[in-house]
Amino acid sequence: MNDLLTGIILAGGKSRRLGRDKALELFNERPLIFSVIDAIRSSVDEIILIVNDSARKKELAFIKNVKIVVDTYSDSGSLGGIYSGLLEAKNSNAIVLACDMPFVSKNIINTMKNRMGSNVDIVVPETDGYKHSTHAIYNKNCLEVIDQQLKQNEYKISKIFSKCKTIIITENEIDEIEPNSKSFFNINNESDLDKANQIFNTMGKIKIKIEFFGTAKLVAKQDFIHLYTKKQVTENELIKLISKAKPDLIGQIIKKDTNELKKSYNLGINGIKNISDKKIFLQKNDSILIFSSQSGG
Amino acid sequence: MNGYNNKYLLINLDDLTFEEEKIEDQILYDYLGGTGLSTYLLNKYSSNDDPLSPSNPLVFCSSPLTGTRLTTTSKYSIATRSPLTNFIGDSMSSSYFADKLKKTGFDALVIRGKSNKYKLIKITNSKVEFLDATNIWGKTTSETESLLSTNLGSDFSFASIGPAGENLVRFAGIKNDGGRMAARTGVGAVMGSKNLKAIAVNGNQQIKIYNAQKINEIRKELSIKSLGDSTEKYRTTGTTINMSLLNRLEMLPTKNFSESTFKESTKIEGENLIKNHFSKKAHCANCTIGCEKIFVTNDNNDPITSRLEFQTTASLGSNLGINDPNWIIRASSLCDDLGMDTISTGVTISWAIEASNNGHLKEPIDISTEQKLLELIKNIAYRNSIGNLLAEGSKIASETIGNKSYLYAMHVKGLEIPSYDPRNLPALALALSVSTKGACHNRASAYDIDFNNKEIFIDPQIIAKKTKESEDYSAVLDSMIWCKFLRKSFDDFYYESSDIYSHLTGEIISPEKLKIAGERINNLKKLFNINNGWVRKDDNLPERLLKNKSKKNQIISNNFLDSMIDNYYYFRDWDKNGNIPTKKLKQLNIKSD
Repeated sequence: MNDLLTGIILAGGKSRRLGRDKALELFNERPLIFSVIDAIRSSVDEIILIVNDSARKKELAFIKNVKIVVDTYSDSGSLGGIYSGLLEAKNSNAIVLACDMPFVSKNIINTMKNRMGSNVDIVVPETDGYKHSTHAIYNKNCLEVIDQQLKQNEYKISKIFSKCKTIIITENEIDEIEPNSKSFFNINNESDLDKANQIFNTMGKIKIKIEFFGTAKLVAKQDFIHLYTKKQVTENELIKLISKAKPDLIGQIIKKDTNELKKSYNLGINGIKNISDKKIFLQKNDSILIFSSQSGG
Repeated sequence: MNGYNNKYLLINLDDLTFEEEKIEDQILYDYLGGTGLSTYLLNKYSSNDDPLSPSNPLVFCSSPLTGTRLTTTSKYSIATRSPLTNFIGDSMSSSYFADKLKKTGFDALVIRGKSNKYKLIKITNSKVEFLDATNIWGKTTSETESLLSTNLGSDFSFASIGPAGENLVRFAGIKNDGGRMAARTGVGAVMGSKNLKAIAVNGNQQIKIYNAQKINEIRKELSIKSLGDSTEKYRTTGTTINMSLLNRLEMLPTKNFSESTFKESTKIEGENLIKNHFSKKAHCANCTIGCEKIFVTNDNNDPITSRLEFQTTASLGSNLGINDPNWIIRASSLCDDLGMDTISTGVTISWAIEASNNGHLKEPIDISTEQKLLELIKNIAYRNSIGNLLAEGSKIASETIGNKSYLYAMHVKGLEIPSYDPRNLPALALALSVSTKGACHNRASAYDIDFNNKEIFIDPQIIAKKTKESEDYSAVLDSMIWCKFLRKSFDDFYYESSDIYSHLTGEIISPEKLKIAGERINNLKKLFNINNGWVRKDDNLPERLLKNKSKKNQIISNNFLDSMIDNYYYFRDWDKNGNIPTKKLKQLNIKSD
């Protein structure tokens, strides 16, 4: 069988609940759909965006290296999208994804891809008893079943699973591949978007503690704060992060350019081991101490 | 030589006489002033007799910079044989007394003998009088200063002892200008042993400056520098904020050094004191930094103020398990009034508590209420009941009651340990053990080696070399005399100090020669100790700090300390037993007689 996979992204149009265009909603400072495209780019050799109409097609025309296809069955929901995508796909198998999933996991996609044997029609992950039909791989063999359903105005995707050879990736399997995976997280409303931003700020990052002493403590009006950071940061990046979290420190404790601490302060990792390297390697729960460089008394 | 008076007063209290003695230029050049010159004069007149005997000289010494109005230089140094350690006792203080002493026309006072009656020495421009002090004997330091100011005039500055000095409490200090004290090593007890209550000075002679214009320029530049980032802590919060950091680092002496963190430290840490007890800032004479922070009680009793430093809040706070700032402010104020070192007071009381809890001391030591704590402090100053034993300091007291009570006596050479737990501060640990005056954190400022490098050094050789250098640097700092809190304002300390010294005196001194002067001064202090019975085992730390296994990853052990000391002697060019070879004395131009 052909190992290659087509990526199908359902990029309908305006979302009713969010009230805005989900595909183009800014996330991580760019349209959300790019998060999905990036997640599958290395696993597929073709990406197809399914849109409702030609106006929408024009709207998304700025996206490079994708094929934009208008739904064959209009107003037929995701199932229609899957159908149109599979019909257009050059490969037998296609990974179908919604355009509003900011954290699609390459690891999970690859595992699903590996499970797609010659006698399998669908690979779909299931969590909390819910089958993620817009985070699944479909074979062109499904086209006939889907076509029949659509002709009967039956748009429920779940109904096709029993009619096709379907493999379910269980929650346990997913946990093994990626504990606490956010791959299936999608954005339906404003609060989902907030949550996504929150997750984004912590994903692949570690939680560290910043502790304040002396004037720094008095200015911060707090003993400590928690921050999320990359494991490897420069002193400069770290100071910028702290400045963002505690702007009051700028001027008194941190230099105005927020590149470094003032000479009157030291930065120590988990004690008085002073940070003076350009690159700092941090571990989860590390503490950064900000204390006076004048040790006298 | 310019910058100096080139003479000192040699006072004999036995017969209330005095002589003016000249100081040769070479001596000034070699020993600079402050702790250097006072050590030289102490050594010159030393009798090796008991520290509380009349023959023990008590030396007061200003410095070449005193009176120049350069920032932080209104300072003086005291040297004597310490009744706590039997080795060199040196202590420093600052403010107007220093300037007015130097402007009397003398660089130093060497006081020997013992008066039959309680006396006050009054010194004005080249005039010396011995006045009766019967009416002020028994008064507290603040009462004494207030009475003397009324009687002699507010133009005078006074250095006086309180009841603790009068009663020969071995850790009594000498107080001046209302809030400053030469507190450590029992210099106040030596003054008391001479029946000398106070020294009043009011000189106004000009200090001759070789290049006054240049010194003026430097004064302005240095004042600006002194207000930079490198003094931020001292200017803003003061030193009491050290507690929160040290507690976090598990380096806060707690309950007589049995623990290194104090659960209730947030109540007495500087940040809390500043929020809830701050009263005002104060400056020494001619100081731009103004590190002094005055705190006030905030309970229902009459408000009391006290100038608090970290050392006091820890020695009388975490070290005694005390969590109430009001208690600490009152106890500190009381110690100041009685004329007693707060570090030794706190650490001697904590010794007594542990010795009592472990059955070595029969009397219970109860500081469960503020009243009981204050009562105990008074009993020490007046040598009442158990206070009489505690007035001896932790070393002699533990030797007196014997058994294994010495295990709880947290001192080096008899001087109680200041509040930095040295178990994981190796440079400080070395400096405390080898310091000629005993457990002093200031004569080497070695904690700065531990705190301000990329990471804590654990190579005994590196630590020893850096500690030796830091001791010599500190000796120059304390002889010129600059305030320690100014030290980081210099871009190049030796270069700038030698430049200033040369403009002041007209004698060129190179940065290298200044370094050697620092080395010379420390060697002379060591020689003084050797002449007073020092042996290698005196360079040590209490067992508790070396063998406590409860502390994870402790750096300091017996072997590690020994190795640092061996290396330290090596870098000092001393022999393996820590003695100074004749060749070294010669090289440093120290006369060994």
